[in-house]
Amino acid sequence: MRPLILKGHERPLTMLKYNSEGDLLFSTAKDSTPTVWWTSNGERIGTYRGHNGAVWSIDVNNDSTRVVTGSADNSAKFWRAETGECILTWTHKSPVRCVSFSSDDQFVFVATAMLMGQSSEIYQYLVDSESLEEASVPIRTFSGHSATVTRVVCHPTEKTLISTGEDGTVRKWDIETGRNTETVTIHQKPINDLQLSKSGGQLITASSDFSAKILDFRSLKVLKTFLTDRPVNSAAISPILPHVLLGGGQEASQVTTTGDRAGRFEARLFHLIYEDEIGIIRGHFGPINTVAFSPDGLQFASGAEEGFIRLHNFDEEYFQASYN
Amino acid sequence: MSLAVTSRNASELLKDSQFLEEEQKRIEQRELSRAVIVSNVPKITVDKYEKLCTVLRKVFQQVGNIGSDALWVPQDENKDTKGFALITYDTPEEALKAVLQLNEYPLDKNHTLQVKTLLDIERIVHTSETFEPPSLPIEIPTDPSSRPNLFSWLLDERGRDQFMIRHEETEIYWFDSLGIPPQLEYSRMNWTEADGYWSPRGTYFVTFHIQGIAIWGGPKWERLMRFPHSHVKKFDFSPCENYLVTWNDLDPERDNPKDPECIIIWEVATGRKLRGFLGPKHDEKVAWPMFKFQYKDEMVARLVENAISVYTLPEMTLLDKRSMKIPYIRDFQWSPADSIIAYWQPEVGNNPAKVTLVEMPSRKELRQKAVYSVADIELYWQQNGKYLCCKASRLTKSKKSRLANFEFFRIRQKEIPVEVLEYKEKEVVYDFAWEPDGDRFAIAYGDNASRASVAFYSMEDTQVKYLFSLTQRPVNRIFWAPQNGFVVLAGLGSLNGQLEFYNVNEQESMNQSEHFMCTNAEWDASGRFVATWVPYSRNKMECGYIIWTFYGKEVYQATISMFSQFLWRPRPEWLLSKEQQKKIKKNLKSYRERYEREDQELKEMRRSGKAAERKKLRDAWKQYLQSIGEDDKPFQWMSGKKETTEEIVEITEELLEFKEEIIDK
Repeated sequence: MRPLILKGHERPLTMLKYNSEGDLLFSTAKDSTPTVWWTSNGERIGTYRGHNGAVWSIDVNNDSTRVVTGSADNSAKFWRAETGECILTWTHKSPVRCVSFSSDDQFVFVATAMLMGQSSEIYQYLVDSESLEEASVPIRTFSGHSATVTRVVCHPTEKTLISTGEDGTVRKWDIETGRNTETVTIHQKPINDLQLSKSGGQLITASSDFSAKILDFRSLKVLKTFLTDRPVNSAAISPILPHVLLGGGQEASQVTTTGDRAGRFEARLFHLIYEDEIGIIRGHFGPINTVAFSPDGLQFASGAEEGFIRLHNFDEEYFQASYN
Repeated sequence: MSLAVTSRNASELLKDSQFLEEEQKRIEQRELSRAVIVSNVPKITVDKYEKLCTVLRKVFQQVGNIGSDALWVPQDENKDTKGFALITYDTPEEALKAVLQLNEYPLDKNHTLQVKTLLDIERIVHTSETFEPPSLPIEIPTDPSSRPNLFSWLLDERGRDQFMIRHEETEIYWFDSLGIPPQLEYSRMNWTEADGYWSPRGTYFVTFHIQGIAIWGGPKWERLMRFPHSHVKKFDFSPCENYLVTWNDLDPERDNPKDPECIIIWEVATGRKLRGFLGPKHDEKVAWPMFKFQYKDEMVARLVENAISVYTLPEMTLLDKRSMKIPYIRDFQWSPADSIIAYWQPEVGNNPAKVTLVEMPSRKELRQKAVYSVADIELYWQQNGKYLCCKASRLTKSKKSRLANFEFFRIRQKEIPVEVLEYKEKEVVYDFAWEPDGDRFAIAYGDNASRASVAFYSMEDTQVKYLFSLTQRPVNRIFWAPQNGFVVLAGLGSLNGQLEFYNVNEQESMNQSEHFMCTNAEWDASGRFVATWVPYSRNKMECGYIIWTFYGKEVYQATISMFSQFLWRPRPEWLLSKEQQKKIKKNLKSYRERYEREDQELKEMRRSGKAAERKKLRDAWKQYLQSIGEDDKPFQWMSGKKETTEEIVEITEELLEFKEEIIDK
């Protein structure tokens, strides 16, 4: 398994996102230029220029025509995916931590940080209308967070939104009414990442409390827990195998206090059902901030603090291994 | 007395009562021991009352402060005094002084004062009229089968070893060599307030508490005995586990000279205090152990100024009623296998430094050796008492640097011959280690620990024989395995935990590895495994332990937050004779076959057990997916072989068919 190493970002990676076909990989980093790459050969296609600060989050719609990004410059931007033209900029009063398309691509959700005296909010914008004016004002605000919202995802079929916070909570929202219908605290420390399973029936959280958890989407019941000895920054569920991938490592500010091998900057594969570790993939030399499986499950991407993205195509043995 | 009643009621409400009750009792006792009763005070009339108070105050202020309302002279209806007085001091120590110094105080011709603490009175009042024999400190059950078997851990079917770790909790684990994580044997919340320890033969586990120390053991980890000694700082077991020394840092001036409380020698089986000693003054350097036991627990010796005091056990009386006078003595060590003391005296005037071996209790001098221009001497006994090594640090002529110089005593040979091994200038000796149960030793030396040399020698012949050395090694500690000639050469501390596993018999490096920042290494009692660990104090992120095989393969690794301590449980001495051991070694093959078969069977069993467990988990997951209306097929089709992209499309079609089948059912 010889990985492709994508060197384009100059600062730590913040988020990776495959498009639904799996031929494109979108990446954001703290260097203000979101980038799009071919997944087959690792070639850089282009960048989205316009942000003036670290970019925290990116999402792409289902037909790969539109991209939304959120940045620490207090803005979220809506782009034409192919040309890199910025269609619209939403300006907020605090850094944007997360952006996400609704499952039908009709809306964009933008979550802002609890910073600079502002409370954390999720704004809903209507983006499939022709009028830009209509799109520039939020049609709904989801309020009532007790800490910065770190991730927002939308259920593929239901009108439900899930958000995670730095206080370790997972909140469920009704998109129609904007009501917070359920809140559970499942981690002791911030939740850094939230991803959906392929079917959308399960969620996986990644937390600084050294663990990742799989929840049932409807009941928010914790089904599985994966324990490590490092903060977990990102977690993904394989679309084809009962495997989960965790990325993390010691906090960047603590790295110098340990030996070169001891930072545990590996990506770790766990068996979803047994909760056992089944493999580790080394290579990064900084904590991994984000991981993602390609939609076909044959590849995964990881992005780390050192500024590199690694694209791994799984070996044949990976698919042949039996864990019965 | 009402106090006691309330305390009992309160403790009944709080179920965890024992501690509270003891604490209450302690406070109460302290209160009582603060007050003294003075009897035989002149009975006087009211006009002389003031004068009497002044006189009493004057007398009793000699030993401590008496507050304005702390003196009470009771009067009857006619305002005549009753002939006694009550004085409350600020501390029990002052009250004790009053008893010691002012009892039998002649106030005038007819009145000699009697002073007692209220605690004494309390005790006298509560002494029953009829004599009852004292009950034994521990109730020995009449039925021997109900007594805990203190050796139950040695009866483990597979001969596994135990170890203790401390982090936020204190836990005892079984270590399993077949690649499964250690299994928890016992753990207890707040078991000990400081480090935990094993007794030298592993029979007891020792815990520290403000009130004293406690020992635990047996299959259920019962508390076997408590040794109440408030604010105990250190303890030491005798080699045969019969006696215990505890020390609580009490200043000798505050101690009770009649019944000292600073250092206490205890009998383990009964919990009886054999004798107390005054401790060193606070500005004196404390060398622990202060009391050193003879190998068979028959005697215990203490270094005092210019002498060694040897006490017989269990009487705790001075041997021959006098200490051994040894001018300027600096240090001594008992032989681990003979009744021999080795001690050394520094250079004084024209007399050179001397190392002397004395047989006890006869006090016969066996051997004396003079050593010239010595700054310091360290004594290392070989485990079987066959050899003694004196590592002498010498000053060079310029007195700037130190040279190491080893003198070897062959104890078991006639006249105890001595040989000398010298090390060159500039070379620092980092460590010296005897092979336990063997005739070899190793010395780590050099001018820089990151590329030190390790030299191996043998005592087997009539001369110290150089075997071989290893050079350019990051080594500052040498850890010999308990048997078989394996050794771990470790670079701890500033060398960041470099480890080399070496086979001395074959002169072969078996493995080199690193446990980053580890501070210590310890062999298990069987010599099959080594543990290395990093405590929380050294590295907050990386603390934990690793267990290695003797040839340096990592078997188990754990990172535990707040980790502080790791200790293998020691084992008692082998009961097999040398001949029996030899026979076993000869027939090792037959044993090996048997054990390998057993291991294989166990592995097989575990594998099938695990498979069943996994099947259960898989079924549960399947059930969950069905309950939310998903099928688990996507998880199964890939378990065969990798497909190409085209095939995946085909498979997707198959999936749909499968779905239909399920609906049909």
